Amino acid sequence: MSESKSEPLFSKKNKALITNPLNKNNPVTIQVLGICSALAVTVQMDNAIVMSVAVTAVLVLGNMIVSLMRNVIPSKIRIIVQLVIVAGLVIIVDQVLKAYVYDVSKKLSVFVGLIITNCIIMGRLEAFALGNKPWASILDGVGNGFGYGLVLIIVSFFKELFGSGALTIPGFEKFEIFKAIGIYDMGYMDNGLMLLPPSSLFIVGIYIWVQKYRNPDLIES
Amino acid sequence: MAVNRDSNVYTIIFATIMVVIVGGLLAFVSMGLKPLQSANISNEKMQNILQAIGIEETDGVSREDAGKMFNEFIKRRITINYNGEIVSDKTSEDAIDPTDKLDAFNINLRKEYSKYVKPIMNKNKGDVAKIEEALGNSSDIHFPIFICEHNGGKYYIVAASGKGLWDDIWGYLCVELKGMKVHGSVFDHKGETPGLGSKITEDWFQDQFVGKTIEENDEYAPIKIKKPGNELNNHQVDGISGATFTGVGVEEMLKRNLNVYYRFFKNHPEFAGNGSNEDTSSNTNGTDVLTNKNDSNISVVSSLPFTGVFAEDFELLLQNYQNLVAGDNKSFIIEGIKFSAGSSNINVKSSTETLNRIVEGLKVMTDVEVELGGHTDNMGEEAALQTLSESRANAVKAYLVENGIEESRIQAVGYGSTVPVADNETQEGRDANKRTEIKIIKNNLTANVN
Amino acid sequence: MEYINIFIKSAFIDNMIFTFFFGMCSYLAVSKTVKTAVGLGSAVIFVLVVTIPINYLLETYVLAEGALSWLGEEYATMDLSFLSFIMFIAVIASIVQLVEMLVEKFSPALYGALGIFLPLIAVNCAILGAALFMQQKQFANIGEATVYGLGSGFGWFLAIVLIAAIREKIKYSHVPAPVRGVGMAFILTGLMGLAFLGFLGFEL
Repeated sequence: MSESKSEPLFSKKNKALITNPLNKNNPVTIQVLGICSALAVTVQMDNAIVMSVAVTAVLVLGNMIVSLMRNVIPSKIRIIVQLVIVAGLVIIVDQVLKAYVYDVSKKLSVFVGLIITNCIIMGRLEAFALGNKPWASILDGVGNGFGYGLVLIIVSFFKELFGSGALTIPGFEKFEIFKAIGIYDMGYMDNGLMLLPPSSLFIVGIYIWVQKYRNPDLIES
Repeated sequence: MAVNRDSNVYTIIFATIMVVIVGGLLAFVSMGLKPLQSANISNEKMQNILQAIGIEETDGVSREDAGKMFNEFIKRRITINYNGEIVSDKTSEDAIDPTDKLDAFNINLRKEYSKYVKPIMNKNKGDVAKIEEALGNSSDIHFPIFICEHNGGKYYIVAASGKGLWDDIWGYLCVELKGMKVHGSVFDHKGETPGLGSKITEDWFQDQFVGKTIEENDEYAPIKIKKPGNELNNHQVDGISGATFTGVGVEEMLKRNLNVYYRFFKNHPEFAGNGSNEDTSSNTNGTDVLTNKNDSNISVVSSLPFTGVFAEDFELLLQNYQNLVAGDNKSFIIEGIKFSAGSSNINVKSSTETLNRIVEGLKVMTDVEVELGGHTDNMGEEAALQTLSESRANAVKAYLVENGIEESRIQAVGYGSTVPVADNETQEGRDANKRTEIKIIKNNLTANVN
Repeated sequence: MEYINIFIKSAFIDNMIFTFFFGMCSYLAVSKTVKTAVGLGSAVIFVLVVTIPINYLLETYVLAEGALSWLGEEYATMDLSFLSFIMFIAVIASIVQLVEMLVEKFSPALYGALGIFLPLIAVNCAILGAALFMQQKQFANIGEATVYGLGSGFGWFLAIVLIAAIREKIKYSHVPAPVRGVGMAFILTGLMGLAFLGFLGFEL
């Protein structure tokens, strides 16, 4: 698109599109969007990483497509059109996962489908892509996808480390970190609670606490 | 733009074009990736079946290799119905046809379970006889058997499916017909709690089933999942701590499914006949006849002229154990082991002599494995008595192990109050029922005698 | 009996919020007062009870492998399941739209109570999540699927009303400034989730 030529690709404004969502405008902890999947797939790090990549991919592509089409979409069926675009992208992601990383797709099961209703995606399409140029929309998608992934990876790091004493990173062997440094010999036992759903909520709660403590502007009145 | 984006005509045209484009694109992607996806699913199934055999060659086979190895190892695919009758019988020469619903490889036990078995169980809740009858009459319920031939041995892989805490669980077990022993197992699940119930897919859990048997005295004996930390007999495995309900699910699943296969193997002795695996069983016919050991001229006996007095009988055993066949021979009541009331603390003063006598004896009889049985009277809660008897048997075992007997040679079993030897109504009777017994369960010197 | 079990399981044990975090976005956004929570909760129950049976029929007679066999032999091997996401979301979005219009026309009072929440629901993960789980669980008949929808909706209603009641009270407590608001809501939900774990394995 010709509009974007007037300013450099990574201007200050564009950089902010990426960095803001990582911290002070984080989609999960500050805007409180896309929490369903953020909490449910965090038991193992590899699931969290694949989910982040999938969401980022859908977000970037969705933002780009909607932004390109922003002048032709009929306003009456705007939401439906966005849903169809997102759903189509998600189906493609799902099919690709099933064909190439079958084990991961089995673990993510219905949560891949729930990317469709991930409020981050609908929220960004509606709030940003519909009114901005494609390049800015892509950057916005990348930023928000990373912001989402950041929270997922942090939550899954704590859950997996304390729940199973190990970390799984795609492409590597499962790393049994606690066994390796001998914590079990000192009498530590895996905390089964960390693997259950409520602990995700606690970790996100504490994450918000730390984040807002360091950045008092964000505190709610 | 000149076009009015709010007009109905524009909206409809836009929607139509959009649907066509999206639909076409999705269909294209789906068709393109379908072969890869189907291959993944069928390879995973083959992988599971191969892993269940429990032989080195197929252990840890990758999903990619499974497709190739499957035909090499699995020589025959049989489908049976609930009554154990064969409805389909294919060999590895017959290619797997995805449209042949009766081919053992295409049997989807999980689907059949939720579609046909579960409604029947729910409808006749609790009425076992009615459930059995309805299941037997159903023509929709099938069970696959895969026969693997390897190094002259035959392995029978059977499938099971049921319900865990959250969702479906399923698995494959490999059974040796001789002694109805499990030779390997693999389980999987759809949505058990990660890190808890989902541990049924881990090796330590699955390996426990190896060597367990589903038969006792010619009757079907289901495999039980026990709370971790208990002593186990050869029908029991350790459960997963924190995942009791998943364990209950696995137990129920194995109980129901293996029963069908057990029935089939009993009704079809021809399977037991050919190509049996190397003899690992130590069963005897249990009568008092003298038989000749095949490879030597030693007479073996399955029973000795015991008198009922422990010290004397133990002496007799020590002198003649070389010829004694383990099996359902007599268990001795060990006279002289005393415990503090209600606890498993051995009363050291009065018991040491007897215990040391057993230690010495076991050090002589190095080829013998024994079972220590704890028994109580009936004064108290059944569950508490069970626990007490178990922990008492374990205490005796601990003493023996401490004094140099290999742990693997001793099995400690609690019987609670289930096997009284005297009347529990009288004080003398109750005293007699509180006892520890010892029994020879394996004698390597005579193990190969039939 | 089976119906009661499905209801209990979907409402308490597999609670949408506490075990799957479905619909967390609107759960956190609309749980500041009990009144709005009741409104949104009822709307979710309503939409679930309507959409789950429709999606069930769609799944059984159109989407699942071999589901089209009622059209004739040659369709028996068709597998349209890859379309299920898009079909489910389309059904949900259009039903929500339709319901909104009908309610507005025939019962303005009800529209006043539920109306503003209905558009929010189309993108509520709880609705699509329930539809996807319905597909996975392969219910035997439409009755079971409907009860599942009702139970899931009730569980969601219960969760949001409970948290709203707590959040109304907690306004008057001394909560450390950084966790005020959303942070506290997360931690409270976690605690409630722990309590709901007590229902595990419950069956009649």
